[in-house]
Amino acid sequence: MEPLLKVEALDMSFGGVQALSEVSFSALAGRITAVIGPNGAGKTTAINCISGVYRPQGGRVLFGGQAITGLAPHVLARQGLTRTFQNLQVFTNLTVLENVMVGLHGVTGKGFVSAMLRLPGQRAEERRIRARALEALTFLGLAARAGLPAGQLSYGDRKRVELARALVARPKLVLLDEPVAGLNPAETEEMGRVLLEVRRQGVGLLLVEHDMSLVMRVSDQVVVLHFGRQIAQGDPQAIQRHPEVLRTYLGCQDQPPPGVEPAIALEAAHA
Amino acid sequence: MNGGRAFLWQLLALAAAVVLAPLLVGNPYHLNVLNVMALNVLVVTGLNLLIGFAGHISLGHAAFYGLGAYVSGILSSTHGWDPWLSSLAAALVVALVALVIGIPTLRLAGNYLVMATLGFNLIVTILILQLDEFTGGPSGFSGIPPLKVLGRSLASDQQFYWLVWGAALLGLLLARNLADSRVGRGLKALHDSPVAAAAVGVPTAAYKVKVFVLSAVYASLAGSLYAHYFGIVTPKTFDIFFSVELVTMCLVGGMGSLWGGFFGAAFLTPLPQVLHVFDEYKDVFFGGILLVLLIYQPQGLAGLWTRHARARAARSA
Repeated sequence: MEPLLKVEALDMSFGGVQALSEVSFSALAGRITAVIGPNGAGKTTAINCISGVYRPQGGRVLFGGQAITGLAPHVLARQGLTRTFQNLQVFTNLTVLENVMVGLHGVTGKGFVSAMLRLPGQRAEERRIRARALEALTFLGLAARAGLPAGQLSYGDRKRVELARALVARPKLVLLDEPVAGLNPAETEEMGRVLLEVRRQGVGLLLVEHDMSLVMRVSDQVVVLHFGRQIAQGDPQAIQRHPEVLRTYLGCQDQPPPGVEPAIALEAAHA
Repeated sequence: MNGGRAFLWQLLALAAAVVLAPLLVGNPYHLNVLNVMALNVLVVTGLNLLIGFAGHISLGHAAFYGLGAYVSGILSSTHGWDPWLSSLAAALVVALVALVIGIPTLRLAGNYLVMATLGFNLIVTILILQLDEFTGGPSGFSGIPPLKVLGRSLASDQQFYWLVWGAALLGLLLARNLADSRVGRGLKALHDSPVAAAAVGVPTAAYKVKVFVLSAVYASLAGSLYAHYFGIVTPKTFDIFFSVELVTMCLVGGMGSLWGGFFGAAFLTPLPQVLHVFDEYKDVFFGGILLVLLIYQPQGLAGLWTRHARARAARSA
């Protein structure tokens, strides 16, 4: 199967710091791909290059076979590529429902004039937007909070609002920057279930995450970055036994110390 | 910016007050103050769309107001255009000017944008003063014909009252419609977090320019109404001090609140008239109000109102 997303030899540096060098990996449609690596490995930079926040200095990004390198984020959203943010970016002045309604901006089209004059087509579109946003909120268990200002939600609920906002337009691929960072174990468990359900619905996910047990549980593919270089890509089992990964995380050549689960060992190395 | 059902009821209440006010106000001078107030409501509502939505302050809106007045005034008197047509033409010219100004300046952040709009206002004032062949220079441009409806000139304070308040109410309604729409949500989102708004498909740069153009058109239409009401325009009416006054009205009323424009204009327009003592020191006075308000009540008068409503809701809950 041709990958939905192909990242080819991305280069990005900030001042003298090489954040990404020749990074290549791919993500399949309808599958979960995780990008892991120690802090400073370039994971978020990679996401920012893919989503158009940064323009990479070298290499290219293909989405559905088309080159999308350097396209503006709002153009990518229209093509079915959305994202969430590591430091939450919920619209605090909007209600929970309105936050998710904004998520449909890229796939709807009524402009200033039809909005000001309330033309009939505009009202029908508004109704469709509202209905779809409510559907997405219901899916994430937030329907009861639809009318609250998003600024009043708990941290965990804000994360779910962000996810609903990224999913509501039924994108082909969602980039998730640390979807469970800061969540308690129960919330993390729940988020894992949600991610698998989203995958079941055919949406591809590319997630950057530090929680190794979650990564190993939900991912189809894992990409490992280290100091701006891609050092491995494969399924979770293979990654846990990949010599280069073990060396990077644990400082040992081959196997984790006896009696330690590989996933737990990776986790411990992170912390 | 809240644009739910409650707003429509409040707008209806204001419309009722507008209908009743002339019964209580017989004095033409007071009607004149009410008319100027409506013009200010229109400009400040437009300005508030920019400040409240895009989060940008413009110190150049007096220039858009002035361009609307001068362009429509000159076209209708020197060139004999119908005043309605000349007002529309002025709005188009201003939209174009705002587009040309907006595309480079809206890339600037915060204070730089304020300085750019301020500079623009200064340029327009100087042009009006220097092109005296067309504009009449410092002594102003007079002989502007009034607007006509069904062949009747709207020359008196009373007749103009209906027109200008109708326009102000319509301006508020259209602003509310925009706030409560796909575009309005996109604008509010880009004010909260530009990167997140872009990530879901909001064309942030284009929206900023569009809302800037829209707010300039509000100012232009108000300016054209002004010109055809007074029949004379002078450069001093549209200098940077008026831009500061408009921003003050916006802040006093409540930034980003749909009613902010109304409250601000309603409170500050009659003030210099009521307190004649202060007329000499008007700019000092406005500056003082601005300072006190930003320190103690940054949400403006509209904020006072919502705080009161929230407290009442909390008590009854």
